[in-house]
Amino acid sequence: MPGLPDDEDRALVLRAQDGDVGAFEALVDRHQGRLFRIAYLVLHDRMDAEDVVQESLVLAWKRVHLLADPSAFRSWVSQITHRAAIGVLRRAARRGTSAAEHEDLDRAVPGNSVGGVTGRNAGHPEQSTLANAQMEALATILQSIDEDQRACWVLREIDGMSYQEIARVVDATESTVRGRIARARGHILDRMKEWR
Amino acid sequence: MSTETTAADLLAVVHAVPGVQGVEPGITTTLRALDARLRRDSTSRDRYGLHVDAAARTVVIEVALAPVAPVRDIVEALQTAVQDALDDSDATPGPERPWEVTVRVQSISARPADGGDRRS
Amino acid sequence: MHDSDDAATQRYLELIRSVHDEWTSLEEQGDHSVQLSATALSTIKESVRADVRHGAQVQMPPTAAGPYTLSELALRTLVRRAVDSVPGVIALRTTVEHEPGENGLRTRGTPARIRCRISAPATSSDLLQLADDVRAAVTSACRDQVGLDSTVVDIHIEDIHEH
Repeated sequence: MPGLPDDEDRALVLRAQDGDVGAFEALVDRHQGRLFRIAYLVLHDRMDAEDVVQESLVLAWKRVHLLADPSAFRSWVSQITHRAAIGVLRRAARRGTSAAEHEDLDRAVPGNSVGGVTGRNAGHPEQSTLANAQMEALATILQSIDEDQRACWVLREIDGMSYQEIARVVDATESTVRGRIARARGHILDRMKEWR
Repeated sequence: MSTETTAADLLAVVHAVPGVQGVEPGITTTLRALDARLRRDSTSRDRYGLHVDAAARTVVIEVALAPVAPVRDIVEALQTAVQDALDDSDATPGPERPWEVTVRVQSISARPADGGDRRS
Repeated sequence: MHDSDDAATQRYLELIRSVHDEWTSLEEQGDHSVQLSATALSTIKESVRADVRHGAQVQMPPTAAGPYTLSELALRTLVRRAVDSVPGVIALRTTVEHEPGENGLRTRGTPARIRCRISAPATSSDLLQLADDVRAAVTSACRDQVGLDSTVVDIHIEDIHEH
């Protein structure tokens, strides 16, 4: 559940490091929702988001013994998820599926994410509407924002991370992160005004 | 005409022991089983989690246990059951060196702590 | 211009707050539109179970019917269960020191010393007694489960938890 203190995770992480599968499953239950929402808002595609979170949590299990500070589990697993999501965006960009193309499609069908980044939901609109409507609307707006700004904004405004943590997660300076978030906020405000 | 116990028979014996959740292969038996497959050795009694050396009369079994009884009791029951199965099917009857059954307990499944052991 | 900026900022802040509240409560209700599907979740858990690292084999005193070993994972599971069985105590990590082994590089000798890191309940009034209780539980488990009589058990209370 979001909002619980990190030290509640600490005991679970230590037990997971000790080999307790049940403890890691409890960590999965506690973090999967927020990791899914982060991935979905960045990727705007339910299936991609689920794949990213699955990969990230299984990788986290394989590497949990390497986590030196068990209290840092929350931001550590956010970092793994963020990197996986950015990886999806970069691979899609190389294939030539740009966010802009899908933005036009999205405008044509308001409230639907028709293809997302990888185009996987194309032809299966019923899959894509299985994301909460508000998440959907926000994800649509976010698609029109530069990916780096989008990722930082999501980690800050949706996941509640500190600027310092975000800087570590995205591997940039804190001032770069602040700049990206400020610009992202500006864009979102502009888009929200258009709705009036 | 060999009446030796097949690997499948042994696996059935293993699974029938209370407290044995199943065979859980580790590196050694996995490598041996793969090796037997690569050599297309159909007489081998290597399976994932089970290795029988007829010449040396040794068996290695890798298992997952459920905590229905103390670990050493389950292990002893397993060893005895496998020894009995192998003794019963020995091609040449008569006094022989007993089969040595080595058990490797890979995992023990979790259960809420309730204190008591349930001995049968 | 300023008023519409302030209004827009207000709407923005309200949006952020309302999405937090809504998604949190939807997740708590089990609504899958804001979290992984049940299938995706069980796939993760299956993968985790399939990828358990057993570690090395640890020599145990043989039974009457033959020799056996426990994986390091299985041994820690036994210890963890014993620690957890003391009311209110949470096992954290366990480390084991071994006697010299006989059976080659991959098999460790019997456990000589077991060190248990634990979290104690905040309601405990006598931590020394609590540590003794945990030590007794682990020592009994070693004896009853695997016939180990001479293993030294250290308990280290490294954390206190509230509930």
